[in-house]
Amino acid sequence: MDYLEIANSPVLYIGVAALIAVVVWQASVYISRTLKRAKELGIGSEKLKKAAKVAVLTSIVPSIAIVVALLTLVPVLGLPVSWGRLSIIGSLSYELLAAKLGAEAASVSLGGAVYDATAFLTSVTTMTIGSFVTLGLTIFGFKWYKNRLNKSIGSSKADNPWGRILMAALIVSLYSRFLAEPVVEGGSAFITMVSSAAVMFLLDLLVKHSKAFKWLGDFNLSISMISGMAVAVLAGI
Amino acid sequence: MKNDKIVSYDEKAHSFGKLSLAIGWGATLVFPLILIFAFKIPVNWNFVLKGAMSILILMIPVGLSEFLSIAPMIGPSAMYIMVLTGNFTNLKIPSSIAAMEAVGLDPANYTDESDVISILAMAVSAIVSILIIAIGVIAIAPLSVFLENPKLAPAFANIVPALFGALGVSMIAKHIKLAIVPFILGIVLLWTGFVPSALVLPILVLAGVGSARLMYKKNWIRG
Repeated sequence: MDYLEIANSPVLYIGVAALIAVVVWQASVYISRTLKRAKELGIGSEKLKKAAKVAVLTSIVPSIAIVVALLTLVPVLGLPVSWGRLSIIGSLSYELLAAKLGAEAASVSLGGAVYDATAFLTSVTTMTIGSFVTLGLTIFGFKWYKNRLNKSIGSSKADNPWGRILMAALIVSLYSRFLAEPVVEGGSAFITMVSSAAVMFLLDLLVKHSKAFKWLGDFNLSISMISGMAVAVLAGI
Repeated sequence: MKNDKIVSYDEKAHSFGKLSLAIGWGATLVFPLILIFAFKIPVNWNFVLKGAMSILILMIPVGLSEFLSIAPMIGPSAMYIMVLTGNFTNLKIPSSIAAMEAVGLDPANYTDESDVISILAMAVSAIVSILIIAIGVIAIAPLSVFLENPKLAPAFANIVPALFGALGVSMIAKHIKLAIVPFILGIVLLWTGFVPSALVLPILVLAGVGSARLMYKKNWIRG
């Protein structure tokens, strides 16, 4: 039996259903607990609705990118495994790398002529084992790490200027990592970043200074990203 | 009284989070188990061990550095959602920051209110992402013709620069002094290739926090 017949077999959708069920269950429990907590803190429903709306809008474009990644994985790993794995934990680069390392462990090339069912199983187990690293660190180490951090920052962040500076420094360092890359890479990555930043800057100005454009505030991230990506396409023509 | 409530809220977030992650990892085992038991594919333990060793050698430093740098930025519930659903930097953190900014909160000043908004944004983002992927799968045949068009390839190859270009402009402008050291160091490290790219983030976080501490001590910046 060709491995792709197995990889696309309907039985494997049980795995997809299990993974999606866990994500939806976890998210729903946290949403319901958070709404209760919001009530205790006196956060108005308008604010919550706005936050949810912005989260939806911000998630659309990057999620479409995951669909594109899925299209890359399907010819090699079949639809169910690709779908299930990209719906949780992993990213395209991690899944492809792990699948490749699994294939190499079985002394074949990923998706090549001699890539058989045993090699496919080795790829899938390698992907599964590797994803336990972040999960395991979080299950066993996160509570301890967070408590230590909270103690060192101080419990009352409102009166603690260093706590606020630390948070800002962490976020700015994360952004610097991903802003420095296109600068070094140049070409379409740099053009995309600059165009997206420029559109965001202009939209921010419009939203802040004109009441007629206030509604744009919810869409500014998506519009800026799509504009940057459109410039990348135009630059490639 | 209020503090007791917060402690118990955080405790509950940790215990449910750990349980959901354990179940989540259990669910990832369904694929290999089906292959072994339903399709009777023989397990070559030598291959499995070799594959496990190679992925763990790579993932332990990457996972550890991601964990150490991202965990301080968010509250417990948000962390558990993010770890289960992945896509930290391209989906979950941007959603959370955009939601906080949209309701007038400063992402750098993480309060109980920010925690609520951040959890809500990440959970909503997780569900939206699952839905869009499911729609993508249903529409896979017609979509593939459009999305796999080589002319569109540069757009999807540059999604991260597009995202951080848009997000970074206001954040960096707001905290220009804090950004100088990590941004310049980031360019130097990536340009010279002195360290593996997976280690650049933790190094920048250390340098960013270290320089921020120094500037704070010297009174060059105020919170």
